[in-house]
Amino acid sequence: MRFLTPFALAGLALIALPVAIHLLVRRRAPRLDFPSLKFLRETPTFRLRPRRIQQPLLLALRVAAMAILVVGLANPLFTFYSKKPRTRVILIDASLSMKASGRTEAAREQARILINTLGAGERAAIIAFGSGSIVLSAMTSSNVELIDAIGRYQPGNGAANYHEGLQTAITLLRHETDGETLIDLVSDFQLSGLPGEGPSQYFSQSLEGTKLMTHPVGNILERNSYLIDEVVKSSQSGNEIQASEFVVAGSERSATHRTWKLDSTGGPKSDIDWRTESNGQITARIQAQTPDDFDADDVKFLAFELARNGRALMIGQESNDEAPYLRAALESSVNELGEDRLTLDRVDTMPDVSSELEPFSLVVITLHGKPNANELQTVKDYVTAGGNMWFCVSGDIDMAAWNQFAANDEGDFLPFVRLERKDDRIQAPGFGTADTGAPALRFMNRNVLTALRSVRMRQAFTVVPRDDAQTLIRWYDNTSAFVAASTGKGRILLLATSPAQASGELGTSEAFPALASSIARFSTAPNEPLAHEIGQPIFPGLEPNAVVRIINRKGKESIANARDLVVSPATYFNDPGLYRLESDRFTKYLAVNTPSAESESALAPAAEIERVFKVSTSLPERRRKIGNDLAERNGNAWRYFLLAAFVLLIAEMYFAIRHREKYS
Amino acid sequence: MIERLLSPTVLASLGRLDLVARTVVEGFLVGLHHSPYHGLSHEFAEHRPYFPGDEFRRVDWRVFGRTDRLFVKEFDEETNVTVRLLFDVSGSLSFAPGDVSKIEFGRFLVAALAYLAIRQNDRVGLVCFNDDVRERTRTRGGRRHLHSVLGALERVQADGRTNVGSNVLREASQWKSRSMAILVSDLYDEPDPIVDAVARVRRVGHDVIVFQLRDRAERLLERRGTFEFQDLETGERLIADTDRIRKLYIKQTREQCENFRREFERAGAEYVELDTAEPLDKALSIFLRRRKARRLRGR
Repeated sequence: MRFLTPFALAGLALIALPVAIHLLVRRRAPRLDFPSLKFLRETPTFRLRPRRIQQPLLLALRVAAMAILVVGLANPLFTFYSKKPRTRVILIDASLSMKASGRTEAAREQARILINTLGAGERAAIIAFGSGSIVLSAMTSSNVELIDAIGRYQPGNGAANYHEGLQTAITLLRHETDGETLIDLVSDFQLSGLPGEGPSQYFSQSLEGTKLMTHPVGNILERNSYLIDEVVKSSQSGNEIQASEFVVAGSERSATHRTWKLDSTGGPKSDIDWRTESNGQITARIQAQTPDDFDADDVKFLAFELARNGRALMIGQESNDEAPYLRAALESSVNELGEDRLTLDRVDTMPDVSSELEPFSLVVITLHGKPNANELQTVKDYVTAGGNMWFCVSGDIDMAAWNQFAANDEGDFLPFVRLERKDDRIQAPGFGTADTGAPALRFMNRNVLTALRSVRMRQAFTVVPRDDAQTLIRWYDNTSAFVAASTGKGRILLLATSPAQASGELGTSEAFPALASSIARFSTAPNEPLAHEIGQPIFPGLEPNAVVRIINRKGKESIANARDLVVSPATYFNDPGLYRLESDRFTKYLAVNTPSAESESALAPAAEIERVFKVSTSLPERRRKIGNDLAERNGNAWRYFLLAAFVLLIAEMYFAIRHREKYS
Repeated sequence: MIERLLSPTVLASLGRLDLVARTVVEGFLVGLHHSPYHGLSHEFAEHRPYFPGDEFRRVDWRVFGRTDRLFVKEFDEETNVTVRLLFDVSGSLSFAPGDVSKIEFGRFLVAALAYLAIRQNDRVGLVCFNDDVRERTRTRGGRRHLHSVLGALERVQADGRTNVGSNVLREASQWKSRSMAILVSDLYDEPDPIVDAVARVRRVGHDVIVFQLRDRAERLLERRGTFEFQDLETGERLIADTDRIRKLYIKQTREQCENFRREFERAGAEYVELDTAEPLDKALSIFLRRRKARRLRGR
């Protein structure tokens, strides 16, 4: 309870009045007939003050009436469901969809309403969240500061990351140990931004006792169009960009497959603007053609390299144990991709010069015996020039010799520092976790990975990877099984076992052709995805502390560590567009787009919001809340206090009259 | 059971005064374990030889059986006692904090004494007074007279101021024979005239028992708080806090009672303080004890 005119509470001192009267004022003595006054002595008047409270019921009524009257005059306000002062975080969705017609102002208005319902002494903070979170106002009890912060709220271009926003809010509230804590989530609650069926990923996190209230704002868009599923294809007729243009109109959805030919010299056109950059990459900007109500997602940016001709080369004797399995796997990839995209060749020995390898996008070698320095120099030259090399490791390898070679300067291009033979006497080695986001494994689905984990090996090695190498697949004991490292412009992949029958079940597993296919496709595809979404981590392929310069199209430059691009990409890529990344190892272009999910215009119904956030938006509760708010705003409680005081005074009069009649 | 029957509260519920008196006395006598018809009115004195003309039924046949001679039993004719009941009915006896007022208790007491006395062939006279005589009966014996005594008791109301000393003296001056005077009063009057009057009555040969009636609430000043006290006789008022004056009040009233006891004993009178909550057998016992002593002195 709080008071609109708290100074009136000084009137509580008047409670002392009836107490003093009862204690000090001489009461009229009741008459008592007595046989004789002979032995009675008159008591002096000043001694007739009662030494204890007389008529305690009357006194209690008078004190209560006085107290209630004063409290009523102080104009009390009740917050029925929050006895202690609340601390709340107003969490406002600042994702791209909040730019849609009227949603920004609706969010501001909702936040202002919440601020206006704050009680005296209650504190609040304001956080805007999209792909990342920004604290617009730290915890304060000043409504002016909070209203100012609302003025600074501006939706960004990222996706609504509710998890991130809630975590930031919880972090702020974690220091608030007194009273109730509450998060008011103001969002348009786009259906596409919420998790699907099953347990809520947002609520599965602990809110640590904090209540969560949701405040949906904004109306559904009448019409919106956007581009998705963009790909770059090379064909005999030339290179082209393909994408689907989706149109959402009310509950109806339609899509148009669109193609942009890259057959001219580039430059701006009505629906495409592309150019070949100095590093050979192609950057492009494509435009949705269907008119709509929401322009922020109408453009897509792309940055890519044109795919090479897919040519894989197996090097090794046909009589080697692993050869049939490798060949079978790679041929199945050819069949899967089509000969126009991938062809397969085989030679018995490594060519003397790397130039003979240059036409091939992927070279596959199984390591046997001891290292041959000349052959490995050829490999190094090929990879440095941009080739992709896939090593398998045979069980007959001279491990000590290879480890010694890797330790020397001439072996520094190899992706490993050391190989260790796995002891299979305890348990046959099997594959464990895999980095499914890695480019080389991007084309493997979940079923293939499951099949891969069921494979048991007899001869296998643990890889101690080079510092800048990535582990793509681990053994069951968490040691590295499949690693990748960049050398120059190319990449070397090392699988620390082989498909030979002597090494285990890999060669006969249905997972192996899928793994080979994924590697083959990886070798023909551009190294980077065509575009990133705002908020997605960027993996530059550099050491974590490596410095990267980021320059946008307008020439604005910023500096970041490679780690920052992974951890907080939205800090550097918060606007859709093309960025140039420069490091001491490369210069490349990066395309960043608005999140596709933000373009879906459907808003989540109340039941869906309740399911995801586990908040009750049932009608009775809303009514109670509305009633609460109204009671707070109107401040009518004083009337009830005055009524109660009046009733108490009536009761006091009744008992006083009865008392007087009794003793008169 | 007997004690409960004799309690003033139970007696008050009986209503009729004759019933009250009879209940009290019969119950009391049963409690004494011997009949009132034996040895109280007539007592054996000696045997004498039978002479013709003597009533044949007075022959003692047991002595004849032992001695073969006829003897008749001689009885002492008991001297009848004249009981003078002096009942103070001033306004102070209307004090009634509980179930039984002081005037009611006094009525019960006087009625029981009268009943008992008449049962024993005594002559009973009643005077009810405050500052003057309010009711008076003649001094007689017999059951019919008992009714007139009880009727007078029922008529009288507690009222007016009291004047114990002068009333006692005036009444005593009219007594021709030596009597047993029983004064029933709360003695709210100047003590000296009372003591003086009792002493003078004793000096002329009357036996005196003084029953002082007091209520527990009055004796201990039980009510707590500040009250405007009103004197039931004079109508005077004063305001007092009982918590402040109780101690002194109890001390002074106790001193007054002790003073009465001392002075009455010195005069040869019996002084008994009766609480209105007490059963009446105490008063009746004292009456009988005193009466017997008087009769022995008279012989």
